[in-house]
Amino acid sequence: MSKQTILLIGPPNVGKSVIFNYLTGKNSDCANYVGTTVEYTVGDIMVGGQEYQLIDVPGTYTLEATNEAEQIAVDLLYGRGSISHSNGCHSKQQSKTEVNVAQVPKAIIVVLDAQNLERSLFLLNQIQAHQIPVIALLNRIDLLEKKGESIDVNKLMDKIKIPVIPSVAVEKEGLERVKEQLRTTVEQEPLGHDCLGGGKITEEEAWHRVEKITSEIKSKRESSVQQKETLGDKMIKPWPGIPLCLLILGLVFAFVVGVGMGLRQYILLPLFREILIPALVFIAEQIIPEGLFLQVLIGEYGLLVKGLEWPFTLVFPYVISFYIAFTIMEDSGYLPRLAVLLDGIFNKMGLPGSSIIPFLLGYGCGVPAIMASRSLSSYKERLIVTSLISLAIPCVAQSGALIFLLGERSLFVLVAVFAISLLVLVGAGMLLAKFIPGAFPSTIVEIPDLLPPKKDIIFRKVFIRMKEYIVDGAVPMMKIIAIASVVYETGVMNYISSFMRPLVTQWLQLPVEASTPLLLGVFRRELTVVPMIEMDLTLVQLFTGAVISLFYVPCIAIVATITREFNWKVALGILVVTILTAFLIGGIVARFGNMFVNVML
Amino acid sequence: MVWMFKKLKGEHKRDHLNQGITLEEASLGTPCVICHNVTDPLLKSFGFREGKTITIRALGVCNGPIVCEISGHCVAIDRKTAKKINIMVNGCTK
Repeated sequence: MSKQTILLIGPPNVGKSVIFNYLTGKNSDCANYVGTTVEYTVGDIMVGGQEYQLIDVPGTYTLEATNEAEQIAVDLLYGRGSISHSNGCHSKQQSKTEVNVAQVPKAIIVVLDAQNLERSLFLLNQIQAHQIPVIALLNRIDLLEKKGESIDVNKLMDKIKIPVIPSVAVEKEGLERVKEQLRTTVEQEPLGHDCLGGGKITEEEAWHRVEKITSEIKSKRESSVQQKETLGDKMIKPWPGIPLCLLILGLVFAFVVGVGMGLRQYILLPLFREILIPALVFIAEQIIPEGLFLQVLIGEYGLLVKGLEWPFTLVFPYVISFYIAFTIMEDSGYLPRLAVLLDGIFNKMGLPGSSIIPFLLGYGCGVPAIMASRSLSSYKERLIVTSLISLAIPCVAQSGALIFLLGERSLFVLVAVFAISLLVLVGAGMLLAKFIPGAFPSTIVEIPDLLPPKKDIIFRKVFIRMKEYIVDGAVPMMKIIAIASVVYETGVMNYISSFMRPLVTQWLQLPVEASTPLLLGVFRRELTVVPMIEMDLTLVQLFTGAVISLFYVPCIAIVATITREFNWKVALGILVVTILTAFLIGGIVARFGNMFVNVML
Repeated sequence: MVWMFKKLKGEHKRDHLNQGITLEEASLGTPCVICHNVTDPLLKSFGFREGKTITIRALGVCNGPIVCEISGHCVAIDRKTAKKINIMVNGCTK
């Protein structure tokens, strides 16, 4: 028999995921922007000796859903959610959890935003109309107090007639009282009336009543504008917001490249090349007789050589540096400011500025990025964002490989590759906006406070993402390298490469062995780049190879995600477009590159 | 150049338009009052309701969004939506 469920509902960016993590001991993702949770997350919780399933629901402002993620929240409340939830990146630990969401929840924890009490109370009122026992958690009271304001919690309880627990979730304050309160709430019958006093009232009257309650319980001591709020305000104005944006993005790029290179050069490379790999090769040579198996382990594409070196010394350092920078940006609340600054430009691509968040996530990994597009309001916007992520945004593993491949030979070529990526991104976006039918994007976005990121949260999130990279990135990469090693050592790769010879040598003007990365790249994006490091390529060939790898097929995981989020036709369409674009632009770059070199010489 | 600078600061808006105008026409930094009930549930949740005071804090580039301060919070809305919100500088007549 399936366990009964308790829902955790509230507006977006109010701290639900932090509360969920505390109550269940899980590691669900959380950040300082709207739409971090785009699918529901499940964890077990013990209440009064009985085990329940706590469901962290995507944030919603009202029960009149305005996007797919909010619709999930509404469906869960009505007990009409789908039986098994998707295996996303939001919380990988619980991806296989079975949960019966087609049942009405036993109780609901409504998280009220102390800073936005009116709309939180309106949502609470809508939820209470469903006759389910409810407790309210009044979160972010610390931010309210910093603004010189306070809420009389006892008066609030008196007005809405349900228990209210004041909390500061990020500091774990007040959360210990939730389980205690839940024990009595799950045994209670629903109130039988909503928090506004019962009776049928119109929506306008409901808003009027929540405004009245808020004015009666909220008091303001004195207003004080703080430094961080002033900086937050400046960041959304064209001046100095745009120069600041360029400065911040430039610093992020320098940080990712610089720290990544440093980690590789001084820590990971010596560790793997001088200690681990020689030790493993020595052991393999001692215990395995000469032959195919030994070659698969220590040969050209040896699992114990390239299988460790590529994922851990080429890609891993940039995974670490990228996620440190990204986590600081997402936790500070800078991303929504960036979204507002770029909104006008993004509109030209048929997208709202908030698409910057899935795009930036895509520079980490395409899978969560495509899932994050659920927070966009139309199918057209989702399709454009997904297509662009698949086509022109390199994931962190691929970017790391590109930085290593090109950075040491020519910084100019490295910048040129990312510039081409950006040009194609904008061009393809404008084309798609023209040809995909659908309404023009509308922007209604709340800008959260600019907050200093917390060190412990940054460390925890970077650690989780490093673990995810090892499990979902490095291990699959090692498996593909092992297969490549077998195919290479048995001569099958030469056979397959011969079919691709005309395309590779004549159109792309690359050596015939460049067929190998094109074959491997079908499985993992970065493997389109990494084998080229071992080849003796000219600068033009490196440039050509890097450009091809940039636009070449998205990895298998992305294709599977697109199929799940849309359908197989969309996935196939994106696959064909990316392959054709890669070879078309690759051929053009090769010709122009060689022409340029000939003229210069 | 001077015109661009004024546009960035929102000073190109004519002041006389501030009587019974839409949010899209409002001047930067001037508090205004919303004069009617909007129908969009999301806007209502963000505080865009009759009688609420609203102040424009920034105007996005390339016809980008209007950033408003309402009920102590910043909300960015596109200009098409802003055109549908009627405001008055000196309060509503209703």
